[in-house]
Amino acid sequence: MIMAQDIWKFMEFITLGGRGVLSQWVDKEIEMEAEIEFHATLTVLAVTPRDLWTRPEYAPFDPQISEIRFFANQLQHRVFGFFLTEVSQYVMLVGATKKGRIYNPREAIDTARKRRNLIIADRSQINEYTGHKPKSVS
Amino acid sequence: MSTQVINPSLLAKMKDKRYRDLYVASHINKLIPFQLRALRAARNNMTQEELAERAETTQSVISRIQNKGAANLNIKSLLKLAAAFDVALVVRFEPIDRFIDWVDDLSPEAMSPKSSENVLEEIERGASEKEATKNSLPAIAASGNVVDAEHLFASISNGGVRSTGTATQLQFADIRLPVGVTSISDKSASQKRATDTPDRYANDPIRGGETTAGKVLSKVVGGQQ
Repeated sequence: MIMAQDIWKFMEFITLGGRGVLSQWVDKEIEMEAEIEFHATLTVLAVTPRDLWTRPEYAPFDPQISEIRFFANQLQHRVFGFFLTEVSQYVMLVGATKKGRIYNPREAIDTARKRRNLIIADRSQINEYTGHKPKSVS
Repeated sequence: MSTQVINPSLLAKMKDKRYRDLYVASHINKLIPFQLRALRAARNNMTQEELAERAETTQSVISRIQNKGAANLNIKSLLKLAAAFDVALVVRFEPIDRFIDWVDDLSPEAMSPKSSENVLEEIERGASEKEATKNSLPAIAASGNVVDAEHLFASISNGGVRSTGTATQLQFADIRLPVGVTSISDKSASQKRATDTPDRYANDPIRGGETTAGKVLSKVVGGQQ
């Protein structure tokens, strides 16, 4: 069987304490249904060419950052990030829920911008995110 | 050697039945619209309008499936979509590991299958090639002419194996074998090879066993393993 060749690798910002912010968000902040929906969304985006990253799963936010979008538990969820196209990576910076125009956490967009700047200066603050992958290599 | 196993974190979460149920529902809901997009792209970028027309529905329905997911699709609608792409529809109950295999294989080949018309043509073409091979091999062998190993292997891989000629017929043929493959007449070399061959090749029809050519030819002449 020919296995899927992922086009994109998902990365996550890691704190100075070494914790992946998206892994933490998924484990601690969101409901099970949202976690599964998030992972299904990543599964599809991982094999989708860049020009087909469109709504409903993805949208540009501003010239610097974009958002992965999914809906679960009557809540819109957003994961802000940006592409490192030269290494086929999408870097996830912060996860948030959205009600109306209010994000939770409220400072999600500012946090995303700051983290992006940090990563542009030093890429050592990212790790691969593999929570969505159904299989791993043993 | 590395092998693919279920992600240990996913495996642990799957022990929760609610997680499993949501996992299946969510992935069906996402992957069917994804496959619709992949199929449309593979069919000369078929537009939503064209697909709607072929599936006897409206463009807004196609758009809704692609944007909101497949959760509310019934089997009748899925059958119409399958017919629109000229592919089969498989709806069946499966164990969870098979489902995970499916989620893990989003290759273009898996997501945009060939049309049934193309598949049937290929099967038909394959069958007639097999028939032609079956008829030509014994005649070549009986004539004492050179049999090219590549031709022979092609015949074998096409399945024209079991009913071709006899051992006697083939032993008289001069068989040109590619590098690393022993001629059936070169017994001593093949025996030496057999002792030198590492165990890991023992079941490999191309590299292992008593002698590669011998094994392959025993299939040709006798239909034996």
